[in-house]
Amino acid sequence: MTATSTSGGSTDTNDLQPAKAILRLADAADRPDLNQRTHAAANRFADQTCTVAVVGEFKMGKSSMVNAIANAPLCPVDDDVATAKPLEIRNADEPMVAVVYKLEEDETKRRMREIEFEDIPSYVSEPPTATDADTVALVRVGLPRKLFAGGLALIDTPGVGGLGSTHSALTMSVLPSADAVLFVSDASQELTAPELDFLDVVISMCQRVTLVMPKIDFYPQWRRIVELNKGHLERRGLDVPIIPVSTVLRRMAIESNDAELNAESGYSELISHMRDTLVANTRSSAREEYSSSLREIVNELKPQLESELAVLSDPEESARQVRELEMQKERAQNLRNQAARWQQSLSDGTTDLNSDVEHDLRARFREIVKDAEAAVEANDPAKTWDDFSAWLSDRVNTAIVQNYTLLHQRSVELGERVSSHFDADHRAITDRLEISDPSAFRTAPEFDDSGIAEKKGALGNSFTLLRGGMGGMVMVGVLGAAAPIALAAWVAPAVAGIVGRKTLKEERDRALTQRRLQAKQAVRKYTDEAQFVASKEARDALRHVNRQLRDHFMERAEELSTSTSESLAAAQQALRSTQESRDKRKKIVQNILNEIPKVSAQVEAIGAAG
Amino acid sequence: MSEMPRRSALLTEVLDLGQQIAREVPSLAPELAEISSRAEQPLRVAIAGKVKAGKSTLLNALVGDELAPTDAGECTKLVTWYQHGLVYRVEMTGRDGSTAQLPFEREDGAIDVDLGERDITKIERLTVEWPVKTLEEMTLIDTPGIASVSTDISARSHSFLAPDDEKSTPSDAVIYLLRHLHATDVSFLHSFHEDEYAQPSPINCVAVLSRADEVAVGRLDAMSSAARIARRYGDDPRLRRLVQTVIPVAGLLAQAGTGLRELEYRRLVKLAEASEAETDRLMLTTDRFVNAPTDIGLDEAQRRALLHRLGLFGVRLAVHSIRTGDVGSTAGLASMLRVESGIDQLRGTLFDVFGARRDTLKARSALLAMQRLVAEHQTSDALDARIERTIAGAHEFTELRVLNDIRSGSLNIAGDGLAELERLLGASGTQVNRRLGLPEDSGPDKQKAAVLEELGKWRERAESPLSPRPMASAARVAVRTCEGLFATIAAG
Repeated sequence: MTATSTSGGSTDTNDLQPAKAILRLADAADRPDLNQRTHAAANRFADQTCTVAVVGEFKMGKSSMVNAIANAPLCPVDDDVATAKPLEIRNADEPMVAVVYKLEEDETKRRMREIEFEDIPSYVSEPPTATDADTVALVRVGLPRKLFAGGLALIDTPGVGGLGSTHSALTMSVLPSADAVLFVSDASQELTAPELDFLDVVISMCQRVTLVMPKIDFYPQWRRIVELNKGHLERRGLDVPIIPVSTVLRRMAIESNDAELNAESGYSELISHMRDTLVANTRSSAREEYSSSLREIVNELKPQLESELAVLSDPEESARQVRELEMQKERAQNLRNQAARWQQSLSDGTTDLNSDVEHDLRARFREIVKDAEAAVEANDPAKTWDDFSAWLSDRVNTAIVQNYTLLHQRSVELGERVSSHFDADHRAITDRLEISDPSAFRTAPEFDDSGIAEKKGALGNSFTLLRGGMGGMVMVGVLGAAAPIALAAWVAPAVAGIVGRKTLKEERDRALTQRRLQAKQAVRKYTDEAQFVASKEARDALRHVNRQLRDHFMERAEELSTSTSESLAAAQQALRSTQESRDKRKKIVQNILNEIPKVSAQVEAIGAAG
Repeated sequence: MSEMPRRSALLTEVLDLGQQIAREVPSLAPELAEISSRAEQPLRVAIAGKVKAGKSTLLNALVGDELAPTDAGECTKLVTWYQHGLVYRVEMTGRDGSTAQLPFEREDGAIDVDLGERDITKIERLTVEWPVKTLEEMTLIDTPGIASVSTDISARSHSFLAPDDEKSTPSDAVIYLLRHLHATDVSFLHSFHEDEYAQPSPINCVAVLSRADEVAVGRLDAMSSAARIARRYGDDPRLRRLVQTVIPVAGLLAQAGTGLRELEYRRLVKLAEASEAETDRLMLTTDRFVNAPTDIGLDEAQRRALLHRLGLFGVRLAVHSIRTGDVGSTAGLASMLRVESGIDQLRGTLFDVFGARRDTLKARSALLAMQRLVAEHQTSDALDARIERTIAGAHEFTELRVLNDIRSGSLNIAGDGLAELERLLGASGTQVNRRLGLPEDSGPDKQKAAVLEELGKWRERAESPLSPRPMASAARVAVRTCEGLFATIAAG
């Protein structure tokens, strides 16, 4: 997941003690596989980062805030231009910046390409100008900063609420992978209804939300606004802490290295909130995972050594031991078998998941089409189309994101179900599942009403009027093609007087009906296409999930099989060896076993610390 | 600039039509009389926008007096009409049509109306009558914010500006305030324009990029930055179809510029005369400006009052201008603030767009009201046809339609002639010189020459077989406009 040149949080050396001890024991016990697993668990623990997404309406000062936290002018800040792509900042030994591409079909790892710092705006400023901007999912920056080294990653997201409706879908797609969210709304005014609605959505996707209110240096009434916001949050029953900040003061505080100013800017509170609450929380769950991985390894090591010791001390016992180990080996080999039960669970589960996700998507789209058709029926599509199409594409993108959330959640459940066939904790894989993000469905629905004349003003009116009133293609031919239409505008009233109002009304109704029909067709066409693309993406994402789970559990089956084979070999070896070498080995094994309780205690201590 | 007589003729024609209908269908007479009387009144301009967009502040700046109460929190909860009157009076109209005069007092400048025990949800609107000159030209209507957290307040605005029922929209024109262009703004503007003849129409709507001094969060170049954004919004096709133009306005500056007091100026001079380091330190944040201990001779209350009047940006701008010697008196500073605030530009545009077209907008409102009335009462088709004929026949409306079509992009005319055509049809003002793009003081000879040149040009385009059809038809409208202009000039 992380780039080679970046790494996550630093790790307390104390936390690595038990891992080191286990490595030694594994080597002594002659178990290179356990050695590898210990390394992996330790690395995962060290890499664990708390990803904090910065979201809010556009032009609220999100990018300035991210810059102020990172203390570097990374995100372009402008009075007018808004952010178009997520920008992620994490720790690195050397400053670096890269674009991360969207996950293509048949790819298991995201492609990255390093770019220059000067190129950042060409990707993240609205509109992006870089030639490959369309295929880029996000821009990733690595910086040597103590805060980030403490295990923090920040993601600046495009603001929502603007005219580009795909932005909200982009922001939503960041949320499921975020550990915490900073919701930004500046001190110029209290939260608005759309903001509170958006906040509700954010909280439903990510529990840990903080409201940050920038620009307090500029608004004399900011304390009032904070109080008003507190009231709004309380009335909605939302437990969201509020931190008011001033980017101007923060900048000055950094320039003059003034701690007092930094405190006044609110940034010291914001940063300690992130470090002490948000990051600390992520770390404690990472710690739990780390400790449980180590416990598992110790638990595997211990019985093997015990049985070996038993064989070494009492050769009589050995035959029984060998028999038991042979049975275990067979069980382990069964897990490797194609027809193993977990394989079946996985493949059944994937099929179910596939059809559930598909069904969910279809249901959502059916709902959209229903609502869209009702809207078309209630209005004149010629007048409302631009609005309508923005609404439709927003609905479609929201549906895709919601469907994706379901996919994510169910994939994790599937991983858990499969892991129940192994008697071990598999949070490791379910937490690390890489699921490709849905790409926003960018195109807007098209509506071609060129075939329906009456649309705007006099020209259209008189045209259809003439056709209906004079009942002749002749008239249309003469007036429509060669003769001036503007003249028709003057003729129209006179003609209207002759043919009466009925025809005009009928003609209008007819044209309206036809426009609605055409609009509905356009809706169908658009949603069909969007659904096709979304369902294909979902299938690809699922295939990817399936592959990851299969690979993971296959590996575990291999490990288990190796482990039992090793035990068996050790027992057999013990059976064959001489008394002298047997005593020697016995001493080693006994030593290791003596150490295990201490190591176990250390492992438990890690878990307890979190 | 003399009004073109033709336009009043249109309004007269419309009012005549109303009388005719009243004679034929006596039962409609009271309603028609009301429509007519409305047409005689000043233009009604509603100020709308999202919650906290600065509507009341702008209203005060336009009136030139601090009438509407403003606050950091959401403030305007009722639709309030500010109209010209001979005495100071506040009246309330209930949803049931009842009216009552209300006691009020002026506290801190703004009018504080005592609603007593009345249920706010049962009040349709407040009417404030005030003997102030600026309200003679137009009645200003303050509306509660859209997208307010309290939904019934939002709904009140919506039902006023874009009524669901067949009632005619009570305002003739709208100033729409936006801070940034949100999707909700666009959809609201759409619903406002939803009537048959002025489909999404930029004719009667001007957008204001409000609180423009906040765009750059207090940098001195805030207004030029705001102007840049306003231009971009103005060019956005989605907004072009809905509003005439987008003007950046800093309401707070404008309000301060209209009523700047000598005392305030002297306090600002004190700030400007202090050392640069000292004032910069004070003006860093609003908290410091008010609370930081300083020996420049202004106590906390005085500083708080200044900040309240001007805002941090206003204070910075004023101090900067006094320090550089750009302004040297209360009047100088006031006028600089007004110019910088963009309020004069807005006033000019309002006069050009709404003022000069007042009769056309009035006639249009009246016709729409009549048409709805006639349709509601299912009278004869002949009446309906007569109204329709007036609508289709008036060249003023045709001009509006073509302008609409240009704006909506449905008139597919290539590039350069477009701005010229818009101008000729009266997009930036209907006065002769404005239409012809001549300097304001151009005389009849120059006007004649210019109009003949335009006439030739558009006639050629109208008749050329090479002109695409939409161009030819638009050119024909332009020709007719030129003919009208020529007649006006000839008549002196």
